Amino acid sequence: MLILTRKSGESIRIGNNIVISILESSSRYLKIGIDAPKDVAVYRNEIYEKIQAENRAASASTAQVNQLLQGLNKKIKSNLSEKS
Amino acid sequence: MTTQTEVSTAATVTSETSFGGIPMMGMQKVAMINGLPGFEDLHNFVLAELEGYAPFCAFQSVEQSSISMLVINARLLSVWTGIDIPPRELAILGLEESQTAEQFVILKIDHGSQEFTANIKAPIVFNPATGVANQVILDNANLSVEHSMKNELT
Repeated sequence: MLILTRKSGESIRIGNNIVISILESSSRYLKIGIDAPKDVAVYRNEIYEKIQAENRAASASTAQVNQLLQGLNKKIKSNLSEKS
Repeated sequence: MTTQTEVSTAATVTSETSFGGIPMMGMQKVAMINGLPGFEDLHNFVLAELEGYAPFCAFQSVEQSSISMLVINARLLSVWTGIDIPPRELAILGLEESQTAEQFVILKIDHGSQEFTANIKAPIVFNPATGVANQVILDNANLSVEHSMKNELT
């Protein structure tokens, strides 16, 4: 990992068109500004990792989803036959 | 324009999936511009209705048949009222207005309650005219990745 030391008001350039600026710093947090092209997605990392985990869990539960749907369908068919 | 060969390829792949026991209808090709978080290498999916299980749909990877998810049109959920997709995210997909975007949320089963939950924090936003889509992470702390579907399905 590249480690750089920056002060408030200073910035870092990544490639040709991404600039990360240090707007404010305190003992508890850093406020940063990001200038990047529209097609570059910028996320808080912990949220992105949460979405990754959710997508993997959703895909892993597909077989279970299938069973639940089949169960729902049987229940609906059973209710319909009881009514007829 | 979609060719016959491309449609046949998608149909062949989906017949081998976890949803294989449930016939699929009305398959639409979806190109994920950034892949899908957790599956960043996968860019090509099909969105298909699950016959007999409307309004549930399958979101199925064309590149890896074992990767599929259950999704539902976000606009069918009462919680979705008032949720807008940011113009910047729409522009990336070549869309100008939120109304022209199709929006789906991914469902999963909660291990504890054995009930469906929906990820309303990160909908899949789809431009139906171009087939291009992106999973948009909404910057709203009130939106949950595990929204209970208990009251949405009644």
